[in-house]
Amino acid sequence: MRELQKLQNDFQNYLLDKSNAIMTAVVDIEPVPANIRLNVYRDGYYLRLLEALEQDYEVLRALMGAEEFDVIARDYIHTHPSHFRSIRWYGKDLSFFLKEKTNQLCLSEMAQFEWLLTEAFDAAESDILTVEDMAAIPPKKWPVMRFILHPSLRQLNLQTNAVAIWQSFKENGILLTPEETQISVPWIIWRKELDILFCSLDPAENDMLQTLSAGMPFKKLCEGLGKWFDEEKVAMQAALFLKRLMLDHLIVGVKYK
Amino acid sequence: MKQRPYLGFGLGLRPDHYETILEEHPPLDWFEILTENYLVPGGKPLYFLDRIRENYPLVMHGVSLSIGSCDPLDKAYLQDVKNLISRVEPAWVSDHLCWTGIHDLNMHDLLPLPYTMEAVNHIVSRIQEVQDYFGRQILIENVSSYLTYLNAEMEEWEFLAEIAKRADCLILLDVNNIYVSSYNHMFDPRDYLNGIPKDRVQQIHLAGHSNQGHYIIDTHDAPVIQPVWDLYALTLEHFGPISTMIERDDNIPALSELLKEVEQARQIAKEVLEVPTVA
Ligand SMILES: [Fe+2]
Repeated sequence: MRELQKLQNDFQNYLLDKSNAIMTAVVDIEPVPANIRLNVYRDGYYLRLLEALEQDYEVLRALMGAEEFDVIARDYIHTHPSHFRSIRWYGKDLSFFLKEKTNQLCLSEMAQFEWLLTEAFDAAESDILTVEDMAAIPPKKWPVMRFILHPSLRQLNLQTNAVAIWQSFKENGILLTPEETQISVPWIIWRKELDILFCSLDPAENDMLQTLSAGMPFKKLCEGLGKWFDEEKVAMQAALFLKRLMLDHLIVGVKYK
Repeated sequence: MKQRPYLGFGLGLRPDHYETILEEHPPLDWFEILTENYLVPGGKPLYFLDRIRENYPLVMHGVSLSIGSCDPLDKAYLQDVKNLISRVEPAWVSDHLCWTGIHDLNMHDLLPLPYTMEAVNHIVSRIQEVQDYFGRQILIENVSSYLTYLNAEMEEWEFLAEIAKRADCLILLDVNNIYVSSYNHMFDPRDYLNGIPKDRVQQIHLAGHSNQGHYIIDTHDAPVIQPVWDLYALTLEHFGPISTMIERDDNIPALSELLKEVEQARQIAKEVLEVPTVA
């Protein structure tokens, strides 16, 4: 297999712009010389990855402008040869890359937001816990009840108006000016049936969601709320929040350990 | 010769058409799905896959098997494909006679193999391993190529035929790819057809491409051109009825446009074979 291995090694290195060794292994006949033939593959490699990035990061590309996006994409492609079996995952690290490469926070936040939308799109399915299911749980079990959240749920904190930019571009094709916010705002993204939804959370809601995500019981959820509400309102607030999550198909089950 | 399963005339399933297919239930005999599109945990792709499967036979077509690579076979990938096979219960499963990367990288392309005995031996044993793992025969498809290697010991069709016979696998014959490669490498496509074992061809792909003048790139972004239709007619004359489908991956038109091409294939088959096509 040594000859085949060497050939594949050399060929791949040509695509990755690392070596021209493969040239001597390729038939070179007019009217199409070997390098032109090889470049069909090399250009194809770059264009396919670029297209994948363009599809996943439509609003980021609009925000950066096609030219600058192309420069960043070329750099990303050069430094991130794909080890994914499906090209669907190729753009996974673009937001981290942007964080390193630019000082415009809005760009990496936009990339993070757009990527998490794609993750919610084809995340795992799950049965959901309904308000009726919940009502059937005996009250004495409530304090120790823990919640399992929908597998499509993604959480992120944003310090820019990236989501507003995204929405305005998607709805009206209008690009808002990037702005940094005073504080970092927690957001969630998830899939309800086939729709991808997202919303921001207020600090109390975010606290509750963090408690739930950490697998803490209902008891802890109420304790945490003491920080935000009067004691007699705590159980009601917790129940309301849970109901909202259930109606949004965000809770898929409960467990007691 | 043993009877090969016959599905009739189909189309490559693309997300653009999911809703139309469910609403209009177009007169197609079957669909081919791109395996990798459904190797995801959940969401829309699998939702539509299950709905469409209720109404149509499906076949699975992969792009990541990398049967010719010198890397070990990707066992996790094979397991995922096997799980999808259980879900879809496809009429058959195919991938390409190519390699897609080495050293754990994926070039996301169907890269050309050298037509050598070394490669034949390597690929035969890997196809056997895959077939054992799936518990069924697979189909391998001829790809378009833009170059050949100096160390070639045989013609492409001899390479394909030898592998199919020795691995005891089936063939997905892409008529457009034969046309493209015959143009790029200046061979007679009839020699290709004559070199393929008749009893192994189970499916045909038809597609469009883009002509760059001195060479053709297999882009699947345009309608099938007349010379490819002519070659399709020759193929059916040579092999008899074979399940046929239109492949379109880019520049995807309304479903009705593609149905016209499927209908054209049906007509050609009718004329060439002079027997009724699938009811
Ligand atoms: Fe094909």
